Amino acid sequence: MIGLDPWVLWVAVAACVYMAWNIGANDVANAMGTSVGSHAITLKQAVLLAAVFEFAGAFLVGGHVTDTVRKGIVSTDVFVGHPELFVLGMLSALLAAGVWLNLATYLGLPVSTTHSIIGAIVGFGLLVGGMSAVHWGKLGSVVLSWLISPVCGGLMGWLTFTYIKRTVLSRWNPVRAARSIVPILIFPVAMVLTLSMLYKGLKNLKLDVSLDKALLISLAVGTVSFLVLKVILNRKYSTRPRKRTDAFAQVERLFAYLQVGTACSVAFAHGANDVANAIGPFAAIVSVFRNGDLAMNVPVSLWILALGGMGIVVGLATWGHRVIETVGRKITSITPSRGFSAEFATATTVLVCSKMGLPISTSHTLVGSVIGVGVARGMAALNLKVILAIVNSWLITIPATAVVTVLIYLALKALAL
Amino acid sequence: MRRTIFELFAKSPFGPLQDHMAKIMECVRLIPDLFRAIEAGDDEQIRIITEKVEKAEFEADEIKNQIRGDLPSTIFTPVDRDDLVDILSFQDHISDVAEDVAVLYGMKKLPFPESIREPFWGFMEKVMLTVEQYARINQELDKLMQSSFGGAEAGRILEMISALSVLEHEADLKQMGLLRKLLSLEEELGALNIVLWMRIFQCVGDIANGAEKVGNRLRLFLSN
Repeated sequence: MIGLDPWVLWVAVAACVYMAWNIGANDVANAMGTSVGSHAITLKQAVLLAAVFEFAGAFLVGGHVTDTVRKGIVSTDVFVGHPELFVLGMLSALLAAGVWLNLATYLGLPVSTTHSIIGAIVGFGLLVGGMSAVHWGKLGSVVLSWLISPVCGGLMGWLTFTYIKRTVLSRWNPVRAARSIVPILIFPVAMVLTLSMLYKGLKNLKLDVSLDKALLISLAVGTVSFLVLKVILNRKYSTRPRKRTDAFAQVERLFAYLQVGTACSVAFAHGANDVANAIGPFAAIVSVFRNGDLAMNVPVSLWILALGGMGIVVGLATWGHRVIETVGRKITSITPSRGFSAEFATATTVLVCSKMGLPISTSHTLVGSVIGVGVARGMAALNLKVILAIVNSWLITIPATAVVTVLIYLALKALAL
Repeated sequence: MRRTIFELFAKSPFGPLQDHMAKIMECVRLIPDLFRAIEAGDDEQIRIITEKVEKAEFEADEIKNQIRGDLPSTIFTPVDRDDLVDILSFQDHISDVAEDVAVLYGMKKLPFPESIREPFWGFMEKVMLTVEQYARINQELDKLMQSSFGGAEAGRILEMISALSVLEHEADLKQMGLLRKLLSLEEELGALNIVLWMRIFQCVGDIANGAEKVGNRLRLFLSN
């Protein structure tokens, strides 16, 4: 058994729940803000959908990214024989990320939880294990994904909105065009969401679905969604379009249906990717406590994924709903057709990255997607200064969390050993 | 709260651009009233209307400055930001020349001969039709934004701009006729009065010219 008091484990539980709470309290708003801002869904609906899909995302798909955070960045080899150092390091990283998030919030920096935790883990790896302790190749691909994911979101946002422009907004009768295009658009949304749940998702529930089977089921779900929405729209909007003056308002009302779907997808994708920021280091600590050494080849326990998911939901319920409300009230310029494009782009990008085990920032991907819609002439005015603020926060976050981690680690070591 | 990524969403300039034009129309629509008062020789009314024109022009200026302040160079708009700023200053020019009409008349009390009244009102009517046409185009800006500056909505606007050009040309023709009439009154009015009237009529004509110019500038939004 390792020479560590059980209190270390309890501190780790607290730090993990605090981090998950933080994600639910603040980051979920970033994911859901556009849906509420465009009035596609109400605050209550947003909170409900977010709770269900954030948890589902965390529980079903959260394991991939969690594995990267817990064993992909820092090599466990250098800690053989000293598992307690590894435990203290991971705990320091968790605490440092939390402290930095609070500080950044206070300073008003658009900091990402993902970048904080990765910076923290790298900091401890360098301090304890030196250069060789860090998997530079893996870290490089993670950092690259931070650059690629907003660009990818932007490209998809641009494509999606350009498609909507061509097929709906440019038409002489945009309402009629929307009635036939909107049900078609729900197809990829439902399909991507189902596929990401089924493929490698249900493994946790001992239901491993093969890729072709998963594809088949997602195709079916997409088709059913298409038919259901088609019936709804035909029944609800069978009347001839009213005055031309409110044609675009009516088009946007139709797109609001789609945004319910993308809001679910974004919440699911966010849960899947961001839960790792809280439970990644924690899962690493737990496996050392349980096995007494650094055997890391066991999968992340279900209860840890559930704990992270619950933490996010609690953060959402206690504080996050207020942030969503504030954010939603702040963004009034986004309409459902634009919101749909940006959210579809974000959800798809984040889901693909999650499956690849890449910890990225959902918020920054969303910013990229919104700018993509803007480049397709979809947004009235975007303040690009935010990009500068984000780049600044990248440059500050990594060294800052690394340094805080080192300080906490030294303090913990003095206390615990 | 870390919600600063939402500073990404800046204030739309299109609504304020419509508010700006509404204020300018408030100013321009006073000009026919001004000439009715001149016709009636009602000095008190002339003074009141002139004050109203100056007030509306000042308020339009304030809206203009507000919009400019909300458009720093980091703001990304769906149309070229410079075009947007140009549209704004061209719109503003319309109320500037409207104010000039009132100010110029205030310089010297001018006789308004019976024989130029009819051609004048014919000219004034065309000028107002022209500027009202642009005001209608301006009212479509929000829909143009919603349709993302393309397709059928853009086609509609292009047609409206063509109609605007025709109206402005008609106003030009009326202005020629009016000037010809005015110049024939040299004996009766004297050279100085004729020069002043010419300048006033030029400013009235510039209201229509300004409307056409800003309409043509708007075409740039619709390209591609």
